[in-house]
Amino acid sequence: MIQFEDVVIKYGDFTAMHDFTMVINEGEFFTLLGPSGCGKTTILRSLAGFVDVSSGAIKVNGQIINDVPTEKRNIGIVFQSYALFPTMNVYDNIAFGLKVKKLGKNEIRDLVLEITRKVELGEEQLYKNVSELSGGQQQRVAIARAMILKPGILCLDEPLSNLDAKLRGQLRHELKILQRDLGITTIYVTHDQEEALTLSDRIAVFNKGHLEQVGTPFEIYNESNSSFVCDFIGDINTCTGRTIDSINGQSEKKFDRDKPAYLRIERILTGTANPGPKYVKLRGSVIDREYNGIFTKYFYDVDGEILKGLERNIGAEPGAVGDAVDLFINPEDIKQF
Amino acid sequence: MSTHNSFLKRFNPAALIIYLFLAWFIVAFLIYPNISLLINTFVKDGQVSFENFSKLFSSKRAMMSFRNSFLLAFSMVVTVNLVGTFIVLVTEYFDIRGARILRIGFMSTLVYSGIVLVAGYQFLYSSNGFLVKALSGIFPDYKAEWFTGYSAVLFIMTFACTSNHMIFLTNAIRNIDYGTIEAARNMGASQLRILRTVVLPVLKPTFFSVTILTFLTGLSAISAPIVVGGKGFQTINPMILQFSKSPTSREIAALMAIILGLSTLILLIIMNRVEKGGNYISISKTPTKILKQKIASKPVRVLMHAVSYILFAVYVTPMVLVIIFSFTNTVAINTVDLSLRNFSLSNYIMLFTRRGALDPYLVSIVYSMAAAVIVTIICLMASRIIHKGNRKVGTLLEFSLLIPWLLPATLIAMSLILTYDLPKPIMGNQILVGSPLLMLFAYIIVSLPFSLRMLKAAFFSLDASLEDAAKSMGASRFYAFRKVVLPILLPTVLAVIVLTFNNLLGNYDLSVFLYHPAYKPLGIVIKTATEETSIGDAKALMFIYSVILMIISTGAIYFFYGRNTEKKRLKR
Repeated sequence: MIQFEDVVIKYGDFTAMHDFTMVINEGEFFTLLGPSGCGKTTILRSLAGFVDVSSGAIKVNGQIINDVPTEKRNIGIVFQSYALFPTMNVYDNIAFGLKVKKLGKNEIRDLVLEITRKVELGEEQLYKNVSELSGGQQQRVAIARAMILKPGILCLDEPLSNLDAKLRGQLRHELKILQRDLGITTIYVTHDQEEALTLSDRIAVFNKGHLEQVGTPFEIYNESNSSFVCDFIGDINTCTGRTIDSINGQSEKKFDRDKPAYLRIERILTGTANPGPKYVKLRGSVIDREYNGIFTKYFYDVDGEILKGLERNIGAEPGAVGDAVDLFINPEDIKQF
Repeated sequence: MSTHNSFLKRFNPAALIIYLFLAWFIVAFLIYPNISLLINTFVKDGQVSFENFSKLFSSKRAMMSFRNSFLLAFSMVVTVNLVGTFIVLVTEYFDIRGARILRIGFMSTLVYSGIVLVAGYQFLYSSNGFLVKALSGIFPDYKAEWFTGYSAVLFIMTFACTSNHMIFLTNAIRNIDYGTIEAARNMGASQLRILRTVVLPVLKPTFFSVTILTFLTGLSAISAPIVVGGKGFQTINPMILQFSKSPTSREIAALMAIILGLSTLILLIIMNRVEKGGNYISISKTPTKILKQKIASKPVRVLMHAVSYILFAVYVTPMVLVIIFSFTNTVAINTVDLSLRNFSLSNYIMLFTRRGALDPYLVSIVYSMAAAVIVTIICLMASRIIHKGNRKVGTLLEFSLLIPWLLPATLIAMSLILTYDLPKPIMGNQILVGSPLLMLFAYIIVSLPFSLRMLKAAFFSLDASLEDAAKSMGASRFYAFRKVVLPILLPTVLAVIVLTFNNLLGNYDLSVFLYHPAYKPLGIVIKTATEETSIGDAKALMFIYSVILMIISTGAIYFFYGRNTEKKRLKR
């Protein structure tokens, strides 16, 4: 178990992370999510021992590790750039940590072959120069290199950001399976909310050096507890003034018209009949649409305010710009902070 | 408790020794000698005194040397820019036949420079030189008198100092976005107009930098005025050299060096300011490579070709003659007679058979290699601190080690001479003047800025995660540095050693002040061979020394630049 207790991290006068407390459970796939500059990598680096905490304590299995040097923390890291040593071949990269530990040649060889199989890296790749590998293969080497020392914790710093979209999807899935098989506590840093939602057991969302929310992907998406989390995760409608008046006029639940009200775009239903008694109806017209095959995203003009909605493709021709549409909203789905 | 622990975690005795050594080195060689020079010059019996100014102003020769230096510097700004820009345009911008060959000729000053170049030009143009002898049959009235004094110094310096144009201006032209030229043409601009309004303005900052560098080179010229300046055209540095030899005029020499240093400092500050204003960076997302421009007008085309090849001849002839004459005997050299019967390998044999012939090589190689290795080690330590250590300490270290960049070689030499001619506690009370170590220290000092800039850049281009990765796998700081960082830096480290070695090998400017009479380096021996009184063998050896220096320089430059070009090619 990893505990961050009242941790503050400062660079000179600049506070990179304000006081926060957070617990990561054994074997968990835990993601640090947030926009660039939010402090997520700083936290990862403080856990790994590259950044000192200014106050508070980081504990691993109950032991404070604030002053334990990096090389003694037993934490494996996969860097964003992979940080493979360009002067060494694949084998030497993977074996580096074992050589530091002064293990015997045969033992090193056996361990390298074993981990190579686990990360599905072909044995024929072992004596290649790392620059000869594809992005995906480089990532496997970086993971193998981090895992071979059997670390207690695995840290992954945006490991998929250098890959193209298709490979990213494929490796994301493999990473999840590998983590599940190894059962290792994994801390994953990303700014990609889709990656965070699909991979994680739990997510911590950060903004400008503050911890905003910790929860399961379901909680983070459906029970966002701040405007920032609403905005940052998924696609959302921000309703104001007249739309709020219109909803307030039809519903028992009342919203403050002077504050933004958030509504996930897939929660807006369209059609001719009201889907349920709790729903309120707004009149709108299609002003634009984005067809992506599986869904069509619509932009509706509702009394001068633009709302977005999503419709699954069921084979029918999508609605045209200018079509008048009835939009049904359940006020329970609206969040206001 | 936590602070105490993290102090212990960080405390490293090896690091402390490195910090202490660097601090001693900076104070002993970069700060103290310069302060001591100022005190020597401006303090008399504990009182501030400007007596040396009046001595300087009343010295006709000294004042004349200032006038000459500034005259030379201003003249060079015009001539070097004209020739330099022309040779870059004909090799990079205009479509001139044989541009590759021309470029090799124009680049020759990179390997054929300093005292070696001056000696070659003197052999070709002087009154008992090759040209006079060769032309005497055709033009009996040809006089070589022009090749002494201002005209000769300017002529040599013009062709010797276009290297900056060949490096920086060429680079700037290659980086021009060809789209801008095509756009101008599309809008109806003529060739001349495009050159004047689109191309040259983009090159303006580069022009400014090379102009300042040219001015500074002119101001601190030493070997050309010494060899061909004659009595009528002596500039600041040769005068400082003369004055420094006598105890009575040494303080004037020091003051002159300070004034020269101050002028250099001011010009470099101006240059830095302008450079900070920024170069024009192409804003194109998809820049296209520049294509050579065909010169539309036939007469202009013919003229440009003619001038290009004449300049090529000027650049290459002295070098080719030196190479040819290195394969002749001393008779051919003395009589400047290139008959077939005079060709032999006797000079090369003499290099290995005559006692002492190899000595200047050994001296220069040992000095240059030792200085190159030591300076690289110092700069490696410093770069590491600048890169990863305390930021304030790093900045202080960087500025200190760049001090020699602001100072002319003469000033560095004078400050060392005037400081370490007496026992000083900071040097363990050892007197350096008269010791063979003095020149080694000076070689190290002048090489610091180049070495530091190259190595610092190498450190900063390293992916910081590499070292972190090694540490996360259990490696100690030293292990990570040795096994991960150093192997990556090694090609740069070797390149810096080779280039520093090459820069020092034929050094004259510093050596002339500081060499130990028992260990004469190459630069001094070559200069001696240019004197009228030098005997045949000495002259013959000068050709061999020059040729071998050129070969070493070519190798060094190929090792450095060729490697980078290869890397770029592979990247593509």
